[in-house]
Amino acid sequence: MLVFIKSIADFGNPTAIGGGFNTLAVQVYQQAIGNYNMAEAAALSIILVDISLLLFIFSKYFLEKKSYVTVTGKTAKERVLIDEKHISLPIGFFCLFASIIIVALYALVPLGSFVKLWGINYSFTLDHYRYAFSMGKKAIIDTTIFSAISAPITGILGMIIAYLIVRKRFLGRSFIDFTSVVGIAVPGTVIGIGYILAFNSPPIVLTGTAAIIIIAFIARTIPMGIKSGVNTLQQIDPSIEEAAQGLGANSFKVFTTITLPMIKPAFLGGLIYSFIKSMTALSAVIFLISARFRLLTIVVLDQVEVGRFGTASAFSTILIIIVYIAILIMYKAVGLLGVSKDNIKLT
Amino acid sequence: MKESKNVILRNVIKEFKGHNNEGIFRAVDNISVTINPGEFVTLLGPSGCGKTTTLRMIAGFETPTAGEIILGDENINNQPPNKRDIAMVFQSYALFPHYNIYENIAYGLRIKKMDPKLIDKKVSNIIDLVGLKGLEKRNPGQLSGCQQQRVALARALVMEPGVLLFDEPLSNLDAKLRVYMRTEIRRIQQELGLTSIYVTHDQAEAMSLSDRVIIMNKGKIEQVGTPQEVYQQPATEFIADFIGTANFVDGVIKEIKDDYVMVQIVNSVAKVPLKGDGSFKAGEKVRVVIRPESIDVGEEGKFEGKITLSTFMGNVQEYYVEVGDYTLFVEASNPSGRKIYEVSDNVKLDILEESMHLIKLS
Repeated sequence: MLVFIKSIADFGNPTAIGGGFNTLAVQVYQQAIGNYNMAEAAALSIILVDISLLLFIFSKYFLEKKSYVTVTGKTAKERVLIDEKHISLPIGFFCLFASIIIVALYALVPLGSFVKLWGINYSFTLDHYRYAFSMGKKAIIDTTIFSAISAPITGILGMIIAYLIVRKRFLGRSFIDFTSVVGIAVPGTVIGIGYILAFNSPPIVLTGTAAIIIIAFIARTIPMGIKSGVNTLQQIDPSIEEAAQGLGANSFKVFTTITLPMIKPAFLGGLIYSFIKSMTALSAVIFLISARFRLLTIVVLDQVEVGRFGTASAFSTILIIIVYIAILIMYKAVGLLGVSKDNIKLT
Repeated sequence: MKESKNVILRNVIKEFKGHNNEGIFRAVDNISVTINPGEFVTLLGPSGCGKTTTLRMIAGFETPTAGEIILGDENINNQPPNKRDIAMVFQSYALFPHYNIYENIAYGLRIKKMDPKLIDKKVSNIIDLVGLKGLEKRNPGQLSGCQQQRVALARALVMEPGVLLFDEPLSNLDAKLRVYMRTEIRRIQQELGLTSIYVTHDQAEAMSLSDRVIIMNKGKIEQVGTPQEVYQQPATEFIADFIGTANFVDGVIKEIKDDYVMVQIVNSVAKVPLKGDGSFKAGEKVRVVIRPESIDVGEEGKFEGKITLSTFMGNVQEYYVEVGDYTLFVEASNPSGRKIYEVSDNVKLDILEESMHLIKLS
């Protein structure tokens, strides 16, 4: 389901390698930027949204009708490992094979950034990096700062919304539940168009500001944090929180001392997902950038369009390195929150 | 230790909306009861009788639709759970998985911002009391169910609450540990003189723990009494059937004396003592409760019967005996020294008339 929506809404890959095939998402972009035909772009967006929303609603109301509680206050036993060799070996090999292909594809990117011209001249060079840093420094810094601002907001907001959805009963709860997750189903291109249409004219004019990019990042990545928060919370016995409340803790204390540490893995997941997604976002923000702010992914796309694959690879490599450093930092930071993560047994 | 408090429920009603807001389900239907300081009271009843809802209202996790809940001399209807002088032990233990045993127990005191030295003293005292010494640094996942339940108990006790609530705390333990833990709970409760309200559907637990038992059915209180009272003088057929096993035989009052009545049952007359609750008229039809252990199978007795089933259970021999239109269930204790009857043997039944109990037909 998710894969389908992601594919139909994918923008980056078809533009870079699509060749003669035209996908809906690319079409929207071309109409909006190439022909300045906002109406046509909006119409195409509606088609995209319709297809995605239909699938989303289908999945929400037909596939999610089960409920479960697996983490009770009793805490669970260790999981059982499959020991039979005839089962574990073939599956192991298959996974290994798939992993090697994926790793190899990624390894080509940094490799490509160190050679003069991929496919023709394989001699070692640092030119691409020199070029990348000289002209792309601002893009690198902007992207990292925007992502670093939006990730924590997304993570915390996501957990709070998840907590409210699962644990509290209030008017409009199911509406919040629905709208918070709809962001997954709506393709990024459509969000981008929507933001331009909404914030290009008064009362709120945000087009071209950093705020609109950060807001887009948050809106785009928060559903995943909420989803994983909701899933984790649904597996935690509510009487654990009731016990804390019975011992004198108010709602805020219960959330910070009991709920948050228990859903820390989901929190960390939401944080990392948000950061990565923001760093690599393309479809939503391609409409929102301005001369003031450049984003890494868009720089990469520009380089690909003019055929400078080496520089594009160099940018991509820098992007990957930043993401990995950020993940490490987030792991450490979240580890400092409350207690060590070994103490949490959530499976 | 602080003084224990009393709990008074006055005409308490709790209604839930049905699914899709259709229809209203009354989980607790106008109950009133007074629980005295230091008393151990059990809410006993089949699942869905409203006992857990009642407990959760006292704890503050549910708000009554109508009626009053009074703790000490204060109406606590609108007090949130964290403000109530009440602690609760949950069925699922509800330990905090990310804290060790010590921190689990100290949690409530830390929330109160108590002096760390005092916390340390109180926690160690409680750990001694419930027998968890040496396990302070463990995590909940490393303990057995029985130990986890002790932690849950300690965590509630350390708060020195005015009232302690138990929501079926032993239902996740196996039979032997359950018996062991319930004597432990009783011992600790007696030692501290703590007002305790205990929810269970297990009548053995209710009988062994309680000063008084409150029997609930379909949201209403059926009877409040000591374990002896509810077993020996059940107010309704439901109670007689729910607490232990009972035979029901229809009878007619023949004669009324000061402290006993003569009752015609099957084809004989029994002399049944009155235990204060009856005002019967001659000729009135009644239902007679006969406990299986008060019937003796042998060669002598007022009633003639025929064995239809005979089962050896170790400590007792169980019989089903056809007597007139009824089939009576009999538990003959200590079968090793006695004659065992087989199916279709003709026997006489000697029923202990002092232990018979009369229920009015409504």
